[in-house]
Amino acid sequence: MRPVKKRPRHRASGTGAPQGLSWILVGALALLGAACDDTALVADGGASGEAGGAGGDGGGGGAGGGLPRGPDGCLPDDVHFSEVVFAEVVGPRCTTCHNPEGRAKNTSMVYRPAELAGAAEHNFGVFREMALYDRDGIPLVVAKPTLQAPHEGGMVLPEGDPGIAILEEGVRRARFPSDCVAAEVPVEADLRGLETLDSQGALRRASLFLAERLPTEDEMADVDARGEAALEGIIDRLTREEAFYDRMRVVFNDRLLTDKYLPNRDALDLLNQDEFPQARWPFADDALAQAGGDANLLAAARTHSNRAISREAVDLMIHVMRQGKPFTEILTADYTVLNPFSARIYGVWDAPFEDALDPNEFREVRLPGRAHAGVLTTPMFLNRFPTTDTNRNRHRARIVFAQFLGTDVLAALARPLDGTSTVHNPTLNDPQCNVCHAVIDPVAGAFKDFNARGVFNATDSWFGDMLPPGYGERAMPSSAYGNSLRWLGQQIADDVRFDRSIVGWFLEALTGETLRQSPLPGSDAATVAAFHTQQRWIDRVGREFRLNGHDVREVIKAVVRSPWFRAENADGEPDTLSPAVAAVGDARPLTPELLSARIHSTLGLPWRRRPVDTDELLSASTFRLLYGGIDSDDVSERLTAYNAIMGSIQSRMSVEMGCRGVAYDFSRPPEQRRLFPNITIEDNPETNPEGLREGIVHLHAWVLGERLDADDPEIERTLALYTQVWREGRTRILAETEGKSLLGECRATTDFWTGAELEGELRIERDDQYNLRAWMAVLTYLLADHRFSHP
Amino acid sequence: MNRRDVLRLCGLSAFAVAAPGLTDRQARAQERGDAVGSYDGPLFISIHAGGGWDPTSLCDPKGQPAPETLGAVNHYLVDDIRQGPGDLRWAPFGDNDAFFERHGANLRVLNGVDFSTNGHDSGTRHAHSGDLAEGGPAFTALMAAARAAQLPLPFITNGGYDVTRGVVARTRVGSVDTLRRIASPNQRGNDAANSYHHPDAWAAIQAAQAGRGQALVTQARLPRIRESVTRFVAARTSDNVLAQMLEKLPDLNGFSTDLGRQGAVALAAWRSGLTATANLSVGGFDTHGDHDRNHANALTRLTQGIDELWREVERVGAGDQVMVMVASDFGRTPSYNDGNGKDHWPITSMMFLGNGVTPGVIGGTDPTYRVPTAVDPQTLRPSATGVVLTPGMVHRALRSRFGVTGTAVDRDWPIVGAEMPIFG
Repeated sequence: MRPVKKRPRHRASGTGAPQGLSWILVGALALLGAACDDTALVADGGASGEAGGAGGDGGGGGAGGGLPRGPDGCLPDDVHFSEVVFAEVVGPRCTTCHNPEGRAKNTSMVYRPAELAGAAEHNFGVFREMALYDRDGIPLVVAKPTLQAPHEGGMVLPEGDPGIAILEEGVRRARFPSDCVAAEVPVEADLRGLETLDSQGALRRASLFLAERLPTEDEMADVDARGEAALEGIIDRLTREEAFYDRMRVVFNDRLLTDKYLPNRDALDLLNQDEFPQARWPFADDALAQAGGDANLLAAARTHSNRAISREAVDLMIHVMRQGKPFTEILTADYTVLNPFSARIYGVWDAPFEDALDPNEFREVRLPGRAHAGVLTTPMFLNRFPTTDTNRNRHRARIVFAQFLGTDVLAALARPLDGTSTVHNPTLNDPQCNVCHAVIDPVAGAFKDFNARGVFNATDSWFGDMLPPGYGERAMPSSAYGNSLRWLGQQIADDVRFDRSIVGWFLEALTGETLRQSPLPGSDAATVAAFHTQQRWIDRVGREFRLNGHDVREVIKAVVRSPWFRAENADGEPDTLSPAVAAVGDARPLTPELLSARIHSTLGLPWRRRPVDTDELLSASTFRLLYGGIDSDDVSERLTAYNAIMGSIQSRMSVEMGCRGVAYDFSRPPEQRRLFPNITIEDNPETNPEGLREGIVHLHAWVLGERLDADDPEIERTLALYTQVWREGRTRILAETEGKSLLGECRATTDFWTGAELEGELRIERDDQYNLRAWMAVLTYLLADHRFSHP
Repeated sequence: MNRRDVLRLCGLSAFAVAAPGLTDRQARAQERGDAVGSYDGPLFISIHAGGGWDPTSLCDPKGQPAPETLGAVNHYLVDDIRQGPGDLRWAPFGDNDAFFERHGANLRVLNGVDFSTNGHDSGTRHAHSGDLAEGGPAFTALMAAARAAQLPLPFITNGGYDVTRGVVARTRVGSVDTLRRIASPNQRGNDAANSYHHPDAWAAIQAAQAGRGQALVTQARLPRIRESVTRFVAARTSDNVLAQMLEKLPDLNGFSTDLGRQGAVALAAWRSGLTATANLSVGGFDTHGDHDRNHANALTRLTQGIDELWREVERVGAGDQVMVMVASDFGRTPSYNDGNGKDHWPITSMMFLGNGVTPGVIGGTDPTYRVPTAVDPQTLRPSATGVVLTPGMVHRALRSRFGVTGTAVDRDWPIVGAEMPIFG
């Protein structure tokens, strides 16, 4: 069997040069110069400022992944086609013309751009069909490019060209399919040498990432006793906690960015008052009268209305999860989800809410005169991804492809434009433009019933100089007019790319591993292999997702089981690892939201001055953006590499919370303590040295998730820190160069949450032996650690 | 363990050590291993005009010969176009007069640059990486990686195209008040002598952290994790660098533009030896409707911001050390749409100021603003057999000028484009 040829490494692309572009159409570009018109794929005002992708690694690679093969190493027919026939002959030699917009677009052999998700299956089907035909005893797919049969494209493969043999082998396989089937090889097979978290470590990570807390003692004991079996059940429960839904709000907003409208009354101001006359009632001159004189209702309305409208799309997704509905309903739901406040904003008076002041009570509602299609028809989604007269919903279509179909159309298909082109209506007729527009424009047309502000106005007409509304090669039926986005949503829901895309959402949210796009031609072997390794896993989990009725909890469990979630270390030095292993490992710092949750869960105290304040890491006026978070507006991409500013913030946090956390914990009854459950405030190196050591073992486990032996070098290091600080502090106390009182903010004098004064031994203001200040040094040291600020 | 030890352990110091074009002083500083805060190379500032600016309203004016033709490309007359030194011309638009009269003699203007795209993301990427198709790192990231990877804040970003592809860490810088709070983590309030931990205890904590950091780096064998720990340790060994930077920061209340304030922070970081590159950004240029009014406002914000930034550069006497590049997503159409706006167009301009660049105009476009002028790659004069300017050519020249050419990141992210003496 012919070995699969490795593509040469290449990362550069030149302006106007074919490198790094599609495998197809390059020849056409050289022949056909043309300029796209003034319509672009990205509208003004949208989330377009965050050009490119997130920082981070350059793609890594996983040569250990390799091509899918059968159990005995054979190459399955579909893999042979995509990696040999298409990669070496059809792609570079035939698709110049045989593409949806090429000179041969009206023949029976039309291949899709390889970069498009799903293209491989389509192209294999086309070749397999055409391979069945002969001309004078010669396979037609061989006869034509060798001019043994009439071919408008002329001689493509002259006598002796090695491509002929490749085509002949492809034909043979098409006519006599082999029984070679790719073995279901678990991705772990590509990742030998990877050291992974045990069940206990996975529990700790899953608890934080899913429910923003540390595991309980019962959960840890259950995992100790029953291992992975216990973990599955715990994840089921974690994903039903209220904190899980809060966490999902962050994950989903990272996709939709509708929190842009959370401040002030920004969302309400964007609603069209002709369509929703009640849109701004809480701020009307007669608002109190409209609230029936109920000042509490008015205050609540002013607080919650804008929030509910801003988060309508995200709340709908949460509702779908909470109710255990198929996740496809996020695009197909014929309803929206409202709470009492958003219902009134939309003028819905008859929704059966149990508590008119409860912002967390949601009901499915159909707004009169508006055709719903899940998140696609929510006003803030449509405003967040707006359109213009010339953009014609293409920006919205691009977002649909990126978020719900896992396809970055521009990245996959973009190619240089020639500004001097004179082709009429280039988005329809010029190959350099319509390569993207042929994909984008039908989906853009499906948004035709909504204007730039998201106002619904069903219409039967659409621009005649664009492809008609549709999905791929499928035109939207006339019966769908007036409800076009629901039709679009259903097409997406039926598409396996949706399954893969959603699996990718959770893989990225829980591990930092982004959905890899099809490698461009010339990509290095490691990138190709890493793609195949991930793709195999994505395909399998995606298939299971569809088979189980689009239950996202099963996807989450699959991610928690995956090597990307469990990657901890490797059994060899970095330069000895396979590329597949080298490409694994979550190196991101925790997001501000997760670090804030970890602080609170670890200490029982949040990092904020008063209970009513916003956490320091979540406040836009302090550290949210500096610590790598987003505002969903100008800053919509999270930082994924730790920097000096983040280091200074963590350092500051460690000092402030190290100060507050020690006395606070000792002021609690021992059974309620998180940090010091087994030692007393009097314990120190002289009075209880072994207790002190055990206390440090507990702190490493509780704060950092390290389960270390009592004589581990890290325990020794921490113990040495305590001892040094304690001895030097005692010396200063004896010398009266330092006092015995704790700093004001380090004392425990009131209950943080209630403000109630602490009395008796619960009140801690002094530190006569320097025991507490030595613990503060230790806690500062641990809170400032890499393992505290990283997964 | 100091920052250099960490970097050496992880093999990252090659970025800095191998970088050509370092000053003798800097090279010696690196040999001594005291590279933290020791950067004394040039500062490169990239300003992105977000949304796609209209060069015919700025530095590549077209105008119309008579009032009856107004509106074809621009709404002003050819006779009203301003003429500056050499070939420099500018549109009678916004606050252009003040800007070009003050800075025109020092500006390098590239007109008729072919971005080959109408997409916001791809155009922005092309402008700032020189790479249309694949999305390589921004030049600001590459230069920071090649010249200053070991610094605490090698690359400061305020938006625009700041993709790093992992070659260097980028840093957002917020309000000065917030920076002051984290600049000295152990300090209580405004009194430097008042601390949470006793200074001896603080020193013990930091020593323990350094030892722990070294152990974690050694233990981490997955490359991604080791790099993560390395970055962490390097970042955490620079707790006092912000305080150094803040000492050099002027009163930002004296600035009237966001660009000016962003630039002042970048300058202070650079003067502290902490930073080599910075991204600044200003938006509002995607004027699909009511182009003239909206674009004039955006251009005024841009030109006044550059002016304010440059006044600060001159105040600190760094005009020969700082280069400012100004670019946008692409250009705008040679005609107005039905909404009196202008849509996307792949031909555009770029501007450079400072660092001893040779002033003057390279390239151009025909009177209809449709055909870019080819230039001779050596003389840079118009030539029928020449080449049309592209971002790739610009970035080849940038890499050469700032010592990126030949470094590891240059080899990892090669770029195609003719070698041209764009900056003299």
